[in-house]
Amino acid sequence: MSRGRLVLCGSGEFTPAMAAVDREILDGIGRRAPRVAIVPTAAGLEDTPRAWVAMGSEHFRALGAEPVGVMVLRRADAEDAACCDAIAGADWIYFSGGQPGHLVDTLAGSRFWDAVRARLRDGAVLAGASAGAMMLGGRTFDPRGRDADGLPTSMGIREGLGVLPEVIVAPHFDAIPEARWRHWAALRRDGDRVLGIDEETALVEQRAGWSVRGRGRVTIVDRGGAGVAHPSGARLDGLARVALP
Amino acid sequence: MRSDRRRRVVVTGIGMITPLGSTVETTWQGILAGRSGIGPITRFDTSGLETTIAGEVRDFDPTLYMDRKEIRRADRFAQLAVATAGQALADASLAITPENAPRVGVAFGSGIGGVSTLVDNILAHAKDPRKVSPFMIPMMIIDMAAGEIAMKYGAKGSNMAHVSACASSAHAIGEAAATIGRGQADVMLAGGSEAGLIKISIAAFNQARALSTRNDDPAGASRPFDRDRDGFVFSEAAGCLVLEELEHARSRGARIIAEVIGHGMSADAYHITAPAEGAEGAVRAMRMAIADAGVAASDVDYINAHGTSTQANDGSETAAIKTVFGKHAYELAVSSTKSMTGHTLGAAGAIEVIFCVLAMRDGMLPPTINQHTPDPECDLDYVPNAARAARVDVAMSNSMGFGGHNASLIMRAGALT
Repeated sequence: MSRGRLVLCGSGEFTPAMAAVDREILDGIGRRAPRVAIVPTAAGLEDTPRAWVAMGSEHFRALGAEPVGVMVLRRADAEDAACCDAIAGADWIYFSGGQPGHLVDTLAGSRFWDAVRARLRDGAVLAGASAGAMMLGGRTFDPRGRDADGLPTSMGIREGLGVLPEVIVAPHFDAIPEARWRHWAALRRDGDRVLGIDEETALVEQRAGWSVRGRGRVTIVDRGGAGVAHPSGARLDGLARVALP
Repeated sequence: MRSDRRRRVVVTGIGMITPLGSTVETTWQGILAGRSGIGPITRFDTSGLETTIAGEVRDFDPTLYMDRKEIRRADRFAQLAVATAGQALADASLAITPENAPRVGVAFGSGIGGVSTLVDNILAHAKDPRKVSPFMIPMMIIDMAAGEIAMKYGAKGSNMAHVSACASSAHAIGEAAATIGRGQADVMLAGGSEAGLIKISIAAFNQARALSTRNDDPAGASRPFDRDRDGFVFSEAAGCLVLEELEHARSRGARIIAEVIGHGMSADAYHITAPAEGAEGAVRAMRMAIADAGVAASDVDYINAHGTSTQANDGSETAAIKTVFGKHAYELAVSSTKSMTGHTLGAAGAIEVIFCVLAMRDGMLPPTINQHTPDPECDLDYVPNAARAARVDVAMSNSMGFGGHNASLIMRAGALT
């Protein structure tokens, strides 16, 4: 089994709302000024990656960490040795939000993803917020378009990076009407569980099991469609992740 | 142009048998799962054929719908038609009674009808002319699907067959809607059926270089819009819709699934098998359907494309969609369910209209599977490889047939005003 921890965040990365959660994780790393690599790949098709890095840097610097932006935005970046080297000493690799499909297209099978997994295996924290969390599932929702309410006009499901097999991560869970989630969940395969993570809420892997942190809840929707909500502070078991080579 | 005096036509029942299943729901679940219904041909010895795969309907039991005597006297294409009509009537909770029977009609299409019966009897005739069945003619003629449905269920209204190759059942549905629209029927059982999966059919399409020869990968053989497509996959199927005049449906408390709002038709007048230059015939059919529907092109959310997996069709149809929809072509979803069902020829229009209706009912876009290598000419959103959830208010179904026949149908979902 890998030694590093996973952190799945429903939204709110690099905002004051997540400061307490992030401080707790930094404390757990157990070294002074942990190095945090901020990777805005999910926004690689937008004009916001530098803004994500700036925001993340400010956030983690204020928490006493040593942030560095790693601009893996397209597939060529993910094959670039310099980008891989940039995370070689990272204690925490943090993927911010954007488009999960672009994340998977960019990272799947890449040198950079291999480097991320190597760091996770060697003890680094791997965190993803919103799309960054979605990509870690065995499969991921793949939203397209925006309607007048800011919700996706269409939703697909595609293969994720598979760190959490048979899991589909659903961030912003409390911000999207339940009927929409039910509708979208109809796309999942038998065996897939939907992991709904509220905004400004994180699911943090512990030595044994997982714990809910932040203001909201984490809801596990099982194969039959029934949802069980776990409030902040609750412990979750039964979410297995793949062993990394 | 659309006449405001035309009576409105709604869908109140659907029935379907395909290589993915012998009911609407089993087929639809297969479609949403992105499952292929294509496999090695088991119906006959394929030795000597270039293509040895097809979309066979494997679990159809005609005894659920007809008695043994009726089955013996009906070609498989007519059996499938009767079965899907029965499913659709049950789905619509519609009883045909002596009172309403004269106002219930049938319009059913097929591309090659009872070709199997014909070939069997040719072979019998070669041995001994007295071995030819007295039922050969009534079994093989394409109008017998409509005739058998009428006889089985007692529909005594307008009754006809539509034959326009792979556009047959799209034309049947469009003309059935028109029959209701102009007041000549209150209910029409409309659709199409095809069951010509025999050795000579495969040989003939092979000679025409129309079929995929990806025999070692049946599930991957039908790949519309993919650069590596190499032809269509021959399949059998049937589909039937209960079309009903809106007030008639309301008065009996019927569940309204969708409304048929537009129908466009055209001929290429160009070539026996190839689409016209610039797909201008398909363009005119789509534009006519949009005008008939009284909607803007930008209102169309989803197109179930003809999408046969042939080099000739898919690029041409894509170009036609771009011509008709302009920038919106890149915003709407287009998919070819033939990637899963194969090409069901004269039944294709019917089952694909049903897929449009189900897409609207469930808010699910059927995928185009086997999308692995992009074709620069085919650059629309084909809903690649996996279904997507999306609201679909207006859907179009395209059908095109050898001979240059083009038909487009437009359906609308939602509460009817």
